Amino acid sequence: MKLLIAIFIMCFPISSYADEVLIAVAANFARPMEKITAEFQKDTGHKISASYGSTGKFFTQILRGAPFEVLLAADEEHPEKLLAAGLAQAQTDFVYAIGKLVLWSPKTDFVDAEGKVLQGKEFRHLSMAAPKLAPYGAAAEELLKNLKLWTKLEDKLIYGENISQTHQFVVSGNAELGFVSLSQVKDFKGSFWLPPQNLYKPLKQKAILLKGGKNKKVAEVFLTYLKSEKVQKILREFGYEVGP
Amino acid sequence: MGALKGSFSLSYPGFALAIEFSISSAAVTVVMGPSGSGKSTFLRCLAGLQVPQGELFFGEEMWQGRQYFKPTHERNLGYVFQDGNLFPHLCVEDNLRMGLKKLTPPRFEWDHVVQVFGLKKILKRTPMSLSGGEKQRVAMARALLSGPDLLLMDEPLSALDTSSKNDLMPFLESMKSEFGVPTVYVTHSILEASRVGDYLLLMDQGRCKEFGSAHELWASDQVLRGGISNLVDLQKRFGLNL
Amino acid sequence: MLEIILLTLRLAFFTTLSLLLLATPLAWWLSQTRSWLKIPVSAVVTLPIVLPPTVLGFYILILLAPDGWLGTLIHSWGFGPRPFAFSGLLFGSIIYSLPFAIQPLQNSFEAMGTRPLEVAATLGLSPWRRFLRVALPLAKPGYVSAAVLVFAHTLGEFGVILMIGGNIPGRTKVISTAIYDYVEMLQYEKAHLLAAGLLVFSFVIMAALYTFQRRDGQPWAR
Repeated sequence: MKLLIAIFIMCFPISSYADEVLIAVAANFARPMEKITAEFQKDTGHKISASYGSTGKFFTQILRGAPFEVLLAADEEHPEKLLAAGLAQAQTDFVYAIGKLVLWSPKTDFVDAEGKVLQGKEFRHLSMAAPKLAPYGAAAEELLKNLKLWTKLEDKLIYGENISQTHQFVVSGNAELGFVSLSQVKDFKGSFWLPPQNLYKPLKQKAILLKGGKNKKVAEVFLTYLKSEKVQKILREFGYEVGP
Repeated sequence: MGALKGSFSLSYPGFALAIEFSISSAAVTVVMGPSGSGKSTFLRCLAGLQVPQGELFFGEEMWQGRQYFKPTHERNLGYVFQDGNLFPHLCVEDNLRMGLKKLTPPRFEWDHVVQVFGLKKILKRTPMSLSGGEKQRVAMARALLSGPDLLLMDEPLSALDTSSKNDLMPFLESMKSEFGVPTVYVTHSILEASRVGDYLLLMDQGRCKEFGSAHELWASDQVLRGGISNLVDLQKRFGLNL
Repeated sequence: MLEIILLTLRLAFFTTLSLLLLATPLAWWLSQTRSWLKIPVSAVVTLPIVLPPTVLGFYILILLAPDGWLGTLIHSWGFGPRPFAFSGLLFGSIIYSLPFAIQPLQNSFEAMGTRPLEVAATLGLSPWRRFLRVALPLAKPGYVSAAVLVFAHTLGEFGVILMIGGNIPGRTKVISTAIYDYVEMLQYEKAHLLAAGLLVFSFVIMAALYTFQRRDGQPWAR
């Protein structure tokens, strides 16, 4: 019984919501966001509380009253839809990063610099995100169609629900190679091919101030900070291009 | 003490109970009859564990009427089942205490009951460690400690082996002589019936065939209408055991 | 990390506590009733096992949203479960783990049969006291199973919590969603650490449950 009481007391919350901004962050942006969070807190003294998840899920949750103040989406469409639904602040949206699609394999010398590996028969599975669910999937589909390889490779494709799952298929060796985000392979060994940007639509990721962040100073400070030199340097470090 | 009288009718597929009865509640009435004749159902209806159509009076007290049904726990009775009487999670002493009613002064003294049933040494034991005979002794003692106006016993010895039955018989008799609670006692056994029964109610196919003083029924051919002339015949007719 | 673990334990603790209280009358009713409603009610209660957690989470979210019918009700009362807060997580967890509480309790109530309750009635115990003094103690193994299963199930809960909670640090971020975050950030070592901890902990409490069940046997068996 005493143990129960102890657990009970222990279980009470210790969190505080001081001057912090609540941000919903697209899962593919999780790694740079960690670093940006640390820098932001150091530079401004404000706190960031970041939730990671899929943009689609955040969209549903924001429609149902989720208390997020800023959304860093994985695409352009969802922030625009939120704007149309009156759940975001007008003229606060901007492209904070442009993702890069990369064909990657953890094996060295597996993927050549021109992507000719796609023509050959040396692999059984090619992993990519589901085109209907994730922007990186749509981009990969567009690319393969432009290369006239879609019908040929269709049997070999395995689809991840999002870009992380796609990455896991490759890391775990279940697929020899896959289309992932450049931000995911930065630290990893292996071989890769960066397809030229003219073969697929740029993966523009938009940030927007949500209704919940209206009149919230910290949220605005963060959005300004996101455009700073320092952040742009971090973005490039993690394999993103900087917005126009 | 008045009589236990009333009428029950109850039917489900393959069985119908339709009985009218008026039982003197001053003594032990033994209910006998072949398997499936409705003895146990009759007893359960008396206790309110099953709900038949009809009515039931215990002396002046209405237990069941057209619009009225007194639930089991409000009928001041004791019940001893064939088996499964004891609460497995309680020791013997706690099992006995379950029946004690706090408000009324005890009708029978704790020490007396414990002594009559020879339970002193097993008070701390768990039901699981008891023999079949011991379990039934505890069950009878507990029923008495609840201070019942009426005791209902449903073949209390039938689940026991022969030697346990013989061991328990004296307890049945002292139960009757020491405490004198009016009892309705269901059994298959003529031996038990002849040892404790004052009255005899013979049942067949859900109906009361005979009711009368046990003494007369055992003694006289004439009272046993329908050609039952001796115990052997009785045994054959009603599937009873000696 | 500690904050996440504490929040998870707190959620599991309160879910278990609430479910033992809520499931008791429902399991009791299911074990006793002969009503035709028993079958539909049993089926509804079992649905959370069958439904994909995200689907369940999605509908709970709709239900609790400020414009949902339950949400509207809650706003007019000023209290009750809210999404993206602890109370919403608790509400979702209770629904998600309901079958894990109902089944063992109902089994226990059914396994004891009617005899102990009949005996208690003939001893003059009212229905309420029969339940407290006979049915509850006899159902103890069911309560232990239900508590352990619900607790462990809540610890590992992911889909429902992610949907209703929003994975907000300090408020609705629990061990399972933290593992998800670490995987997203490609910090597999931290993810493995948390996952291993969860695994070992769950193993220990399940092993403890089975030990208890063996030692205790089935106390209602004569």
